[in-house]
Amino acid sequence: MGRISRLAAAARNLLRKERVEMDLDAEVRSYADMLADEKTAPGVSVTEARRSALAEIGGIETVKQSVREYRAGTAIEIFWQDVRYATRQLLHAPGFSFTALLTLTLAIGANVIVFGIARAVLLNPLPVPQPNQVFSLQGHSANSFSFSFPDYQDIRDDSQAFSNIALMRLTRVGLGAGGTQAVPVWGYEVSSNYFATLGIRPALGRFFTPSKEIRLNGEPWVVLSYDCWRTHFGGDPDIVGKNIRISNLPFTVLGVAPRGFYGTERLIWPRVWLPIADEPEVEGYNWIHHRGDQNSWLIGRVKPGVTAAQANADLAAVAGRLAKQYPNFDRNLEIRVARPGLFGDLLGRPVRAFLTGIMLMAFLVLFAACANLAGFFTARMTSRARELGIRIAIGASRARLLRQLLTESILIALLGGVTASCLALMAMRALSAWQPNTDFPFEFVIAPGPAVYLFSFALALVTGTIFGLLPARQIWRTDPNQTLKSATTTAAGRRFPLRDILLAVQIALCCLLVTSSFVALGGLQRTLHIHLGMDPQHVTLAETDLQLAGYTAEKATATQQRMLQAVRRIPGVESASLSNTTPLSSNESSTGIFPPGTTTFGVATVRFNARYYEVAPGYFHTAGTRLLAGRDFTDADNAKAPPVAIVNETFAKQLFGTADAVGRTFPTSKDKSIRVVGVVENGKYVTLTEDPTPAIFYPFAQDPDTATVLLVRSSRPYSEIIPAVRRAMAAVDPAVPLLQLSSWQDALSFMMLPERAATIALGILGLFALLLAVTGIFGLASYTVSRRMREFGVRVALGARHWDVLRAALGRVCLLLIIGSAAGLALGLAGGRLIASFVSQASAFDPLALAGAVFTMAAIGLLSALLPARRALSAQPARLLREE
Amino acid sequence: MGQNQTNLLQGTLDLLILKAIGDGEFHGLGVSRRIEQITHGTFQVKPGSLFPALHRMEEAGWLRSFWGESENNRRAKYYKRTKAGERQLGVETEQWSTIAQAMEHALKAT
Repeated sequence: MGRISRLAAAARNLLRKERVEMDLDAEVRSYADMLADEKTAPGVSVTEARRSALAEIGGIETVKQSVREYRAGTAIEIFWQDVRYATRQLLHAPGFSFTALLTLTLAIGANVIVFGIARAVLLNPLPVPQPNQVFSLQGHSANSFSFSFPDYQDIRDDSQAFSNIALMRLTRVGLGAGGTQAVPVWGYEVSSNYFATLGIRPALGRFFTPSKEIRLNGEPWVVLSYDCWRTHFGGDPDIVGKNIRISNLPFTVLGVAPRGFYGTERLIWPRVWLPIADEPEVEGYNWIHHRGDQNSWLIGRVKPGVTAAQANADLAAVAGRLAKQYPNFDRNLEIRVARPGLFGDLLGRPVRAFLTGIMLMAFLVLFAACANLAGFFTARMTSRARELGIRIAIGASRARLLRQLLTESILIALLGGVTASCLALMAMRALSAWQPNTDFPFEFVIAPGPAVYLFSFALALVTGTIFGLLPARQIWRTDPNQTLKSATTTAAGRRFPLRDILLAVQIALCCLLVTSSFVALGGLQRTLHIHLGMDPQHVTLAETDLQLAGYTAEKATATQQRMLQAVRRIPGVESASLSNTTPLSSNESSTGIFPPGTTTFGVATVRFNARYYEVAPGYFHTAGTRLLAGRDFTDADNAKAPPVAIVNETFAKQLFGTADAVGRTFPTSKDKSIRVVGVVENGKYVTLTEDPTPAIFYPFAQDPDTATVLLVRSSRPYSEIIPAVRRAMAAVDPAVPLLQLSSWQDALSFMMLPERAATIALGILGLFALLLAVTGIFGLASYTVSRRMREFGVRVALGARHWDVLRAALGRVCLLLIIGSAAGLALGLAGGRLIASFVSQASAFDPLALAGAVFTMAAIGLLSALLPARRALSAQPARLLREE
Repeated sequence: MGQNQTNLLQGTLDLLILKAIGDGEFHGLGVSRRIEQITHGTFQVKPGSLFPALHRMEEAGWLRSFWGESENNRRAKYYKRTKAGERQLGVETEQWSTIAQAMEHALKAT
């Protein structure tokens, strides 16, 4: 139906606008003239005829406008007109525009950043084909997601729901890529079906071929990650088939993984993949046939169409069979599927809860910003009521005005979206570059993709629409007659106009966020002062593993002693000692403890599992752990001496029923029992929130290990001690790579990552909310004051005192502040529970947090009402009355 | 003016204008008077509805316009039906009769 014709018309209308307009004007005028001609009759004057003609037409401009609205291409033209008008309006009020832009940038930016993180950590699919078929296998509790190799084989062969299940174990190896020092890298030891299960194709060479049986020592082959191949081997195209050294063992490169494939854990990017069959050589300890050694992670791909519930039922059946078959080991075995990527449920659950909570908060901030801006726009609209009245009077339709105001609000919202995206981009860059202080292969890459920008754009659009539409009711209420008659609009006498409700909502949200921040902060504070059972201050940790340089446990002892001597000789070192690992280091092992009198040694007779450490003499003194009874180890507690141990208080109470355990013995096998020579205070070993846990310390000399942590206590600054330790260790054996060298406090900071992250995130959001509340209250108060200055002048003239004026000016604002804060506090108490679920030591009923929140709200109320109050008090009746 | 009335009028207006112009040439007021005449004064089209319709129909290619002189020697814009306009008149007439018949049947039904 004449589409081409309409298109041509649209082009003409847009391109030759002046001509078209002139034509239209001439046409309507000629109509009016002719109508006037008709009406000119004897006895009717020309002016009279013309007047009645115009009245009949209803205004030439109105007719022209109605033609314009039907004209082809009008929508585009009107849109441009609106954009130009909106730009003028925004430039006209730079203060208002800047505040609005800042508000939007912060609020949208916060959302975009949180969304970017959530996308990177939770939403992005794993880098494997059909990622929704891939699941982690999970034990009965969130903490247990490790399985033994024999159990793995049975689960893999028994289960019906899975097309394949693969095994992986994170391990640290020394990568010999030329040079004297092996580079410590993290890799996965994997079952031979690993790559086949995940459906990954190599970038170079080939991958391990699935085989059912284990051929120990059979396949010294290694697969390199793409990054590893590029960084350590210069992207050598002939790398396949070459020999490299892994922990000083000869390995042949089998293939290179494709770019962007980093395994199935999001935060850990392995550099190499080794066959699990080579585990005994690589780790120097053969556990692969022990059903009790649960130390590998399983990842499975369900058959097409199998649901998680079906997979769980299948796994439960498998676990039941295993429990019957191996009651000693698998009596309590439970298996189910979990979403992969964040160590099963261990991190998955809290991270999901945390991000959901933060996302919610960010949305609340955005909502507060919307309320704030809607308030601004409403206030501005009221002062523009006259303009609107005039425009309606001369023929603008209300829909047209609405469209124009929406253009204005969406324009500034989109601008805010752009600046917010820039802000988010910078924040994400900073976060990606950030490395926590841990030797874990921790990777946190947030790449802002199109989805992030799209999210930002959508948020801006929705925000702009919301805060543009809220004040739009004003347009419908505008009665041109009223506005034109009186200069100052008399607001409708409603008790609580929309503006006030918006402000109260905003104050409530602000108070909620402030309360939440304080609750999280309180939790962090308490966590920082938690009793750790050690004193990390002034202690430097140097961590290495001599295995990476090709040592065996027996050969390592002499080198470890020489290292210890070397650091003890450093001037200013008060004490130094040695252990295989330290508490709270993310490298924790536990061992089953049997009560005295045990005859059969199996999982069934274990009394409890205890954290165990191997420590040299002087460890407790250096670490700052108090010895409650008995003695420390001495050099005499060596391999030839009878086996001894030091236990913590909980261990003593749980095994012997008393803390007075010195001299008691307990068996570890049929022909070995250990005598307790000392009892030390309890500490934290794996998490800061754990209940008192039993721990046992063996003498290093009786249980040699290549894993080495040197603890060095000195009051010299770390900046001097750390290089000195590095030199001392290099002097002993330059081939030994240092895995970590830092102050103990820095090493521990990773443990508090959740608390810190929560506090920082909530703090930033709280600050945003605070800013919004301040601008909101300030806006309303100054608006009220400026509108009622004349009234104040009259009041002062009639003898009102300062207090009366203040009450009139700020009473409403104060009331809103109180109502909003009370609602916010109530919400904060409810929200505090959510926070307590991911911030240890946080309590919703923390009186300090509540007091802090109340104080903060009072302070911002005072702060933001100060200027308007001063203005109200300056009301001078004479001048104000003259102005009218 | 209610929404329903506008819609009804719009559909009717196109048909009326096409019919009123016929094979002749009319300016705006002429069209308006001609409609009044052929509907025996039932429809009095105001310029606020007339001009948008004329312009829209011209953009759709049903009408063609040119400037000319009126009876009283005033410069006026004249409208003339095009071939497409003739076809459109056929289409709309048919639609209208269908509706009219249907309405008649409906109102006669008991």
